[in-house]
Amino acid sequence: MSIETQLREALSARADDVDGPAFDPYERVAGAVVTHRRRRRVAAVGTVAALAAVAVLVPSLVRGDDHRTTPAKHTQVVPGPSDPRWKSLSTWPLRGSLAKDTALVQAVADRFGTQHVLYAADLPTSRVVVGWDPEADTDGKLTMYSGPRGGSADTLALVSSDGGGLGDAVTIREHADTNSTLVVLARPGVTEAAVSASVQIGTDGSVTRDAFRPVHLTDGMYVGPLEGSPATLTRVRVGDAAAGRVSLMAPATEAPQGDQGSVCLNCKGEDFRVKAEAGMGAGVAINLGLRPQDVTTTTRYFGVIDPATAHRLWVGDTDVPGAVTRLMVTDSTLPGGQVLRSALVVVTAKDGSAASTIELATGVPIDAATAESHPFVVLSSGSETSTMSYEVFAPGAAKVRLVSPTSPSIYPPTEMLTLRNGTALATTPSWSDQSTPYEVEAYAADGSLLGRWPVDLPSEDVWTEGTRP
Amino acid sequence: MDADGEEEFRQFVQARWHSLVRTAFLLTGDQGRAEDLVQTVLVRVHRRWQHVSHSGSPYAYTRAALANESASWWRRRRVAETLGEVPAHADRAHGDAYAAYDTRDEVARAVLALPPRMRAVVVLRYFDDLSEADTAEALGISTGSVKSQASRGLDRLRTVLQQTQGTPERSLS
Repeated sequence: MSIETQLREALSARADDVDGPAFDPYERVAGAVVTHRRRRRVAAVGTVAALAAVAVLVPSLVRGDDHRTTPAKHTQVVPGPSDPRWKSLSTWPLRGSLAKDTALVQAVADRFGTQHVLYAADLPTSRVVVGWDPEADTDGKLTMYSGPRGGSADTLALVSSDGGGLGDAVTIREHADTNSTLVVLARPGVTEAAVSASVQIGTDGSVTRDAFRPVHLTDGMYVGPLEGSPATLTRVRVGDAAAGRVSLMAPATEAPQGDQGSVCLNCKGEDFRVKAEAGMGAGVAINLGLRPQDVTTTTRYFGVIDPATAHRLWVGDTDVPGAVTRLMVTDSTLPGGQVLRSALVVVTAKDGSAASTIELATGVPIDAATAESHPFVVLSSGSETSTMSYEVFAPGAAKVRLVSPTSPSIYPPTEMLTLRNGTALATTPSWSDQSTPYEVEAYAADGSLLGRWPVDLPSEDVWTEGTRP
Repeated sequence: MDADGEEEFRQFVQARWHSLVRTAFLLTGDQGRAEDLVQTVLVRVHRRWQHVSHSGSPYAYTRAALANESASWWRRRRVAETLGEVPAHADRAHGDAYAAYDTRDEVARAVLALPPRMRAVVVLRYFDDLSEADTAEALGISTGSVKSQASRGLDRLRTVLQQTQGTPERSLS
């Protein structure tokens, strides 16, 4: 029985412990509505008083900022960036052009239950409010609400959330568009940050990060336009901290139409493949800030995964009777000739009772010159804890083997494996390091070496960082 | 709210109260807290009923609000009440006739030990059977986050099952 099935049974059985109400639930809620109205009237008075007190202490922290920060009009002492009072986001002041709008801030807090509003502003195309709440066992949670400029709290919708570490910088993109406003919030007193807009991808699969350009923060805040910067590739560095991804962003306004970027789980056979290929290609384009029609995508492999491999992947309902697990590997070619690889595992049951997917890779740059023969490897723990299992998909190859170029005596090569239906299964001893010491060699039918590649593709977190110029 | 809207809201509460409390119970682990949580959310829904009732699925809206509210609400409650530790698994003799029941119970307890956001993902995905996309929309997070939270949650639950069933398994490296 799969873990998912056991979990469903456990949750259902647990929920059955709940007794039906011995009261009229509407009466209970209606009574609470009346009580809540009374409390809100009292609380509103108290909150206005508290916000007014903060404004007196730190007047520049509640001034406006339509598009860019401007110097404070009055001289006042703001605690330095290392002041302990800024260590928690819960102590950060409310900033933004709408920070003085106490009615809006209170309405947002009421509506969404946000304990601490960090930012409220009308940006060029939308109204944005950001809240932070403590969360058990985590560093807290940042939440972004967005709606039309000038709209009330009721017009705002939750659009993005992220973990919020203590004392972290908070970075916000107004939209996940390539050209969109960037907001940086840091501890009050921080005056410098640096922004790298994107990366350059080479046809050999290399990735170089654009230079960081400095931006000036006023009262720990920067607001300004950022162009040519796909939100997933933007990096912001504040002080000596490592550059971080954008924390919060509203959905793109330039998103593709229809079902581009999605996979049709109800489709079958070639229909599924064609739509999945288009969807995976569109996903790569969107991540890079390109139009889907500017990216050409080719399927390198589409076929069934070995059932044992599928089971070990825990990708979903692999144990449902009649369920089939397939792997789809695609390469997307950019206008400059760069190639990015994606891989998707799909589990479907014949009767339609189960369907799930998991992305093993989403647009990872590889060497365009060898993309056609570049294998894809599904790695999982072996049937015994001391072994690792590999299912190698090698287009155009007849045989493959795993080798360890750096430690061949510790990790001897596997035997030469003949591919059947484009795949071969291999097993090696497990290793102690984080990454596998093995690489995969592919051979043509005449025995010639086609090439040798790492078993793993770099993760998105790794390759999007890029190397420094 | 006009009389018609109030009547609609009354019927909605009476029809859906029990289902919402079941979900809230899995999020909080206590029926009294679950009922309090549902009440809190329904008070908010009442204020926006005109909008919610025309949103297509008031139940889906309310359930999403419930899952979102549970995290911060749970935090406040924990501070106020200092709950005891939830045991990872109960003591049990081998061959116990109640083994299957105990396993389910321990899995459910393990769900309660998950961080609130991860717990919400697991409950919406595997109790309410929402798709990844619907879970993401309900919680205001990306489908990627849903996948990773669900995967990490399953990893933790798998560990509990290994402890109770003694079946060694390894997760992906």
